Amino acid sequence: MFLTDFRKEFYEVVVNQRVLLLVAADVDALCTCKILQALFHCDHVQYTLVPVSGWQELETAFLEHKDQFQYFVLINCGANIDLLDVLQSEEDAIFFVCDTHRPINLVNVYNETQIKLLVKQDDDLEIPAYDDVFREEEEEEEDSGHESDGSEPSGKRRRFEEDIMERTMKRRQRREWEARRQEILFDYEQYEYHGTSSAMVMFDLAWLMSKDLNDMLWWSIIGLTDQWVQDKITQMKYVTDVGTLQRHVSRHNHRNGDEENSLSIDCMRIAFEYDLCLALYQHWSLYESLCNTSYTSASFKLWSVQGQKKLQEFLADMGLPLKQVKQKFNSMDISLKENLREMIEESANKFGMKDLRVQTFSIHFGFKHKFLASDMVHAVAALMENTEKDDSGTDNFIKALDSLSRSNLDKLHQGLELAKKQLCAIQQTVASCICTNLVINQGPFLYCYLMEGTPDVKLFSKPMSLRLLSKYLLRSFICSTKNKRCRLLPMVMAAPMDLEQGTVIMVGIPPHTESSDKKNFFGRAFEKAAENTNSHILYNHFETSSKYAALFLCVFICLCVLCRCGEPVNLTTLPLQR
Amino acid sequence: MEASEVEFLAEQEPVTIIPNFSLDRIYLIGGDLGPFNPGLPVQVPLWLAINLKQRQKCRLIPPEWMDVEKLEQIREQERNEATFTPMPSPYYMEFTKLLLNYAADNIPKADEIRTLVKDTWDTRIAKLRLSADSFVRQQEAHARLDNLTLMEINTTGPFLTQALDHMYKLRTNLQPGGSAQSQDF
Amino acid sequence: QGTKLELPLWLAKGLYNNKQKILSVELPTVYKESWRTVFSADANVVDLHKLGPYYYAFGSQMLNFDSPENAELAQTILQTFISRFRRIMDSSQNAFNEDTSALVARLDETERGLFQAGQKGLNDFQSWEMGQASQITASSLVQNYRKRKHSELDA
Repeated sequence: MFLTDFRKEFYEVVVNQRVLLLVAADVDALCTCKILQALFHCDHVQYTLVPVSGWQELETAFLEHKDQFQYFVLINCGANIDLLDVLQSEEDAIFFVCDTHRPINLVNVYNETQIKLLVKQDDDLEIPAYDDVFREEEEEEEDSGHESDGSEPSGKRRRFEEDIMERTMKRRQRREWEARRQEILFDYEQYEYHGTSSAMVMFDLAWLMSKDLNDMLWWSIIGLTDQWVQDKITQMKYVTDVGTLQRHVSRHNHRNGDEENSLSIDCMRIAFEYDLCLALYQHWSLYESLCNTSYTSASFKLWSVQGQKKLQEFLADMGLPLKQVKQKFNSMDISLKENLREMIEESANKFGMKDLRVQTFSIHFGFKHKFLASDMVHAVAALMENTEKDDSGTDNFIKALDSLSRSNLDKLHQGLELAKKQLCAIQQTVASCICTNLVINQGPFLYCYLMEGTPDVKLFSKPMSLRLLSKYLLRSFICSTKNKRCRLLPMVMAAPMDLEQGTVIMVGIPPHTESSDKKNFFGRAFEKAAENTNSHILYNHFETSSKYAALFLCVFICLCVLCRCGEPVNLTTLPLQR
Repeated sequence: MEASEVEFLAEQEPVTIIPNFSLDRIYLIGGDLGPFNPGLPVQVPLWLAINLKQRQKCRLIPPEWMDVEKLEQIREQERNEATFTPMPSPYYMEFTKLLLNYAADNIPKADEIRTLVKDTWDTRIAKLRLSADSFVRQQEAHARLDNLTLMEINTTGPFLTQALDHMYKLRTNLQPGGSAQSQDF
Repeated sequence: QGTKLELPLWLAKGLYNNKQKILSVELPTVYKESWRTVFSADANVVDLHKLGPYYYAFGSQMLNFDSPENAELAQTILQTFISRFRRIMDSSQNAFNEDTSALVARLDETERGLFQAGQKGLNDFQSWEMGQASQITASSLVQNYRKRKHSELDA
């Protein structure tokens, strides 16, 4: 069921209990977790934190801990499956689910006792009405009761006929209802998409209890920015939510200009910015940032010689000396930096890049620390999917979690370095995929498979990195192709996940268009394809079901040819047995 | 003694907070605290104040002396006088550090205060070194160091006492009988 | 008789001690008149570590052998220490987070001990100021006391 008063129905319930936090491995979940942890610290709530990266881990974590806890908080996992069925939980276990995944499983929605959904209700959830989907079990029994009536004496024949009439009526109604139900369910479950960032939902809770801190606000900003960076929400939704957060920002940071009552420089300030969407440029050089941001590199077609020339022209147009552009942004001439944003925007407009600036936020504290929200997202995500060391997923998770607090700047900087490496790798892979024509037009969708032995292929064995890669690749491909129809196609991308087990990770993303509503049909499509092969499903990565499947890919491709698809997609990953 | 132990002692000092919750009087070995009423100032030890502040349960009122004008005065006085001037609190350094680190948002002009206190501290330490030197040079037997705080004594203490020990041994050498003792060291 | 020998201090002391005075001791050069003038001129410039890493301790021991220069020797050693004191204090209290090997190179072992003590004071304070101070632990006395109580209860 949906909770309306989070404070009474959630926080005040768990505040005197031991709680198990099950947190999915994405940045928004981390931020939500941070906010909740801060709240728990304030009230000395005992909790155990278990990171879970997929359905299997969720199940094992639950099995391991279920005897010790009654209250479970699931962050960014669990809303889109029938939780009670999957986890086989006891009657008294209570789940609080704060999840952005949509559509929400209807059993979760209508369970009144065990499942409590912490979800913002003004998102258009389009939940089908209870009566349309569920029917009381009794009716069926009644039906069968009537059937036994059939052997009764003929004296009641008249009634019997009436009964038959009634029954056929009922049956017809039932059939109609069934058909309608299927239709409604299909409409409801067809597309996967994401709702309001969990971090924002949790921040609202903190605000409600007037325990909201600037730090929490910053985390909720990062949570929202993560959705935007990962392309999980529409531009409209992003702008609306930024507006909401901006009100909080100005409420919290109004003391800046006040001379009499000025804040210490060490205190954190959040500022609303209309900044360049160049990845990590404040921690890199402008040149490298231009090269490794998908938007600019795709627009310039940097994989070609012409593209490189165009970039030089662009720099010349801005009047920035190469030497300045190639050195660390921090060390650039102050005089150049003053009007940099406007200058770049002006030149970018000439080169057909209209959206180089976005509304975002930044923090500063101390004299030299300044971070943009999107840079934080890149850094934290890179830390979480760090493949350089053989640390376990949990270690990386904890590291990423730590990097969100201001006292662990060294970890954050480590994350920024990793993020740079990741972006470079993505850019190189994109360039080589396009130059060697690895992107194949399958008709209804585009398809690209990274071979084993491709450089940096290990980096892309993780869902977020692969998703980012496919997003960048699709964008670049659209700019490079001459086929106009290709521009409206979604994309499927696969990369080897585990060489020893011979598994493959797959991701499907919606077409890259301005009007894209970021809804994803690939989840169902993958499921269907898996059903049509006799293979067994392995749930993973919370986004959609997946299967070990012989010839799965081929079947999937055939299937997709059959069901013409033009609509957008979400992320789906699946290991694939070859 | 370690600096953190000095800090521990400083945490017993009272400060005023404005709580945002209500709680009856609590009885502790160190004394009774409270009662706490939202919006009403109450005195609590520094350790509790910081704990409550970190849990978003109160607003700290900086001590009276933690004010730019007053601190400027203190700094000037310290610079002008040859001897140590009395400090507003025996734990002024610890207070400044703890309050500015954990409740900087409750203290107006926190950065200026930090600089002023640090200036005062530096002046006093320089003074301490100067007097230690002249003490050694003139081979005095005793000296008066009024108004020094525990933290200040603690930073130079080990060095100074060790040096004086050593000098004492060298001085016993001067006495003719001293040579016999000196065998032992 | 009359031969010059280099003996370790402990042996010379032993031979000298039992009132028979089977030898007389010549002061090492560092403690002689010529060097004493150097020390009185400016003790700060002398590299004491090179001259003998145990200048003060060894000098004090030399006073055991009743040489006529004893009084002056003792005075010189004391004055040397006093005049070098300021420099040791200042350098040890101000060198934070830097390579101190250059600073201690010219100090004798006793002075190095002092320098370390000064450094410890400074480092303790600085690490406290940056919030890296260690956790304080209960005094061992308190802990032992508690333990004894427990064992008594057990008994």
